[in-house]
Amino acid sequence: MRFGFTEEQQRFRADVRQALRSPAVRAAAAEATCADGVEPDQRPLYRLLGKLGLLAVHWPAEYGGAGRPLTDAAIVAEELVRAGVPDTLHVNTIQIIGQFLLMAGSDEQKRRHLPALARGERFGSVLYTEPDAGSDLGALRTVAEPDGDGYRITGTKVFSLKSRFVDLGLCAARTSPGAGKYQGISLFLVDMDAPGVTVSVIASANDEQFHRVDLDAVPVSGDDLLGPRDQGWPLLNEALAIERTGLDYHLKAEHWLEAALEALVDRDPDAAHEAHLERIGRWEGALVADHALAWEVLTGLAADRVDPVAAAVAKYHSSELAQTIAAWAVDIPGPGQRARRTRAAVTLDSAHREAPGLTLSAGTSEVMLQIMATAFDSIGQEKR
Amino acid sequence: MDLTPDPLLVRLREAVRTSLAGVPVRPEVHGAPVTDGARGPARAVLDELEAADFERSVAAGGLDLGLTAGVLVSEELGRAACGNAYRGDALAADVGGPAGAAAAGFEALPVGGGVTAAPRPGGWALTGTVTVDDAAAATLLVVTRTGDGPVLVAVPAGAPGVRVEPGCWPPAVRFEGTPVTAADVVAPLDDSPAGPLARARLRQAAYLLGIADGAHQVAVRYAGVRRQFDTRLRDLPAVAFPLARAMVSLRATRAAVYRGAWLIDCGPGVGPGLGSGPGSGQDEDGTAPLVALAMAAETAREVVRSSMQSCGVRAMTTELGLHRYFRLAAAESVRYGEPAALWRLVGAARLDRARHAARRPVPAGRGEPA
Repeated sequence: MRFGFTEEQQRFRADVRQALRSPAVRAAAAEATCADGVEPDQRPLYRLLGKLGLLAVHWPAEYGGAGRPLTDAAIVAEELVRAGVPDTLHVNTIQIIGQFLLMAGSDEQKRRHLPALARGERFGSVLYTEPDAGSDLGALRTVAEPDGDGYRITGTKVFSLKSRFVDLGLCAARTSPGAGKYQGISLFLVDMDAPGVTVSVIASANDEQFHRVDLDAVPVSGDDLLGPRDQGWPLLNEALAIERTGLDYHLKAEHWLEAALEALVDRDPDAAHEAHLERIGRWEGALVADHALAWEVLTGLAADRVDPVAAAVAKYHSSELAQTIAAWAVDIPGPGQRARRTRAAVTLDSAHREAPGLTLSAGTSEVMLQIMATAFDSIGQEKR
Repeated sequence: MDLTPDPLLVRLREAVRTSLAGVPVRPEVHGAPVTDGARGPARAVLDELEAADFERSVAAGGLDLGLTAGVLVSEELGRAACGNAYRGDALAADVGGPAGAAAAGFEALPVGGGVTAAPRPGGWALTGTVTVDDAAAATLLVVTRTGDGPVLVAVPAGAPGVRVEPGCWPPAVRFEGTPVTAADVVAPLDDSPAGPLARARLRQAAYLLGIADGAHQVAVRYAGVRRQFDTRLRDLPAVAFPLARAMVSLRATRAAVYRGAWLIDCGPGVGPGLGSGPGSGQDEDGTAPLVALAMAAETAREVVRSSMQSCGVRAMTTELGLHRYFRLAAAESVRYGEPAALWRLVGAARLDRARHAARRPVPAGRGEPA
């Protein structure tokens, strides 16, 4: 086991950090920061990052990447967040849609979509959740009916993020209704500008808004089917495990603790803040462990090992931690700091409103616990 | 990072675990649940495995497997609900003391009463009552504070004013004006990142982790066969979810413990390579052992408690053996200091870093004005 990074990884991290210090990136990141329910268009920032080659470093060169290891992509993800880059577009476009395409896409699909995603010219989002199918994705009702060589998709997807800014939707739909709860589901790449796609905003307490996507007989070609027909469920499960490294939640937790400490120090620089020390120590310890849990998953993925239990542990721990820190930290900025709208005060107010979603998105905490509980039958057989 | 388990350590763990499975357990539910120190039944197993060589350097005839190996042994001792026959010798080896010594008074760190050292001609007089590992040890390695801060003092068990009280558990030792000299001071117990205190804390953290893990595995197995309401206990969310949360705590604690050991094994200068932006300095300050110990202490208490609940009243009897973990968790979780006090030290160090960062020019970062 190695809990640190290699010299090569450290050099790479330093290079990434240096690139992100450019005035252009700093200005674009500031422009792209959400606040008070206003969600700016973050695509200009991402186009800049795409030109710098920082969006998909682990993808093969032929698909717009730099052919670096997956662990280098995680290093980039860490540095992007630490440089103030809002992460949702990166998580959705690169880490979920891109990874899904790499995992299950045909060569033609990879060539068609990945380079533009890597350059920050096109963006993607998932279309899984429905009004009556959230954690229970097996209850989804959207259907894809055969139409010539392709299909027509009809249904309603809700609570997706960034949908009004993206070009590509990864949509789960039933291709064989009646085949069973988890059978007969397929995955499609949907052009969000296609006729029949209507995107509307669902206002949220969070600074990032949710969207409702109505699909009215939206035409997709046979080439837009991702993976084998009717075999979407196992693909979804594998992709969800890949999505649950916990790193994105960990970075939020880290960011929010920093903001809380910034507020404390700003409020009274020389005070010992005795009343908070025990709690701060606990958060620090939990963050240290959290980082290792996320990297345990990443280490496995880099070696082509998908461990759904380790992923569930990492997702649960990181999202619960971030949420708990946000709940504690919202009271840290004093009235004067809130009145002055200091950076930390604004960050922590936003964090408090974002936090409830962390233990819901990408699988609720209860689903994570269920995944772990199911693994008890093999407990004691794990290697350490 | 590469958190793939080391194959050598996997094999070592298997060997230790297999050997410890043969250690007989005490059948009674009252009295001491285990025997620590050189007389404990686990000691023979460790001697058979030559565990004392795991951490010892090659130059000293050992295998030089690092603190990680000692942490592994400690974890397996806890997991088997065995007394700890390892920590005393390991501490003694770290400070150049004799094997077979017992550690006393670690609960007084980082704050607290413990044994006071009143200056007297030629040294100090020790007074106070503290917990000791092994009531029968010939030499006691006692934590106290001199003008130079916390130190470890070697005291013969037969020295004047020393009285070991084996009637309670864990056993206690009383000092009443026991004279010691500067020559008896064997090591400082400061917070140096790889010093004897840091190493001892990590071994204790691992022992606590093992206690929690052992109890959890008993509970998971039992809840997998015990049926209520026409189903396995483990299939009831009210039972399964606390066990799953315990799994999260265990994995997080394991990460903190083995990371702490790895940092020490890699030596000074490894910290910046950990790469966490704001946390890049977090390892130089030596808080990793504190984090591991505080987390493991709280995990042990909470996981054992919830494991008891999962198993119902049988957990309090000899039927499952969980009562041993329960009593061990209570005694061992404060033996090396109150978790709250440890967390305060970690919090103070973290706040200091934030204070330091606030004085520096702000680097490229989140949410800065354009």
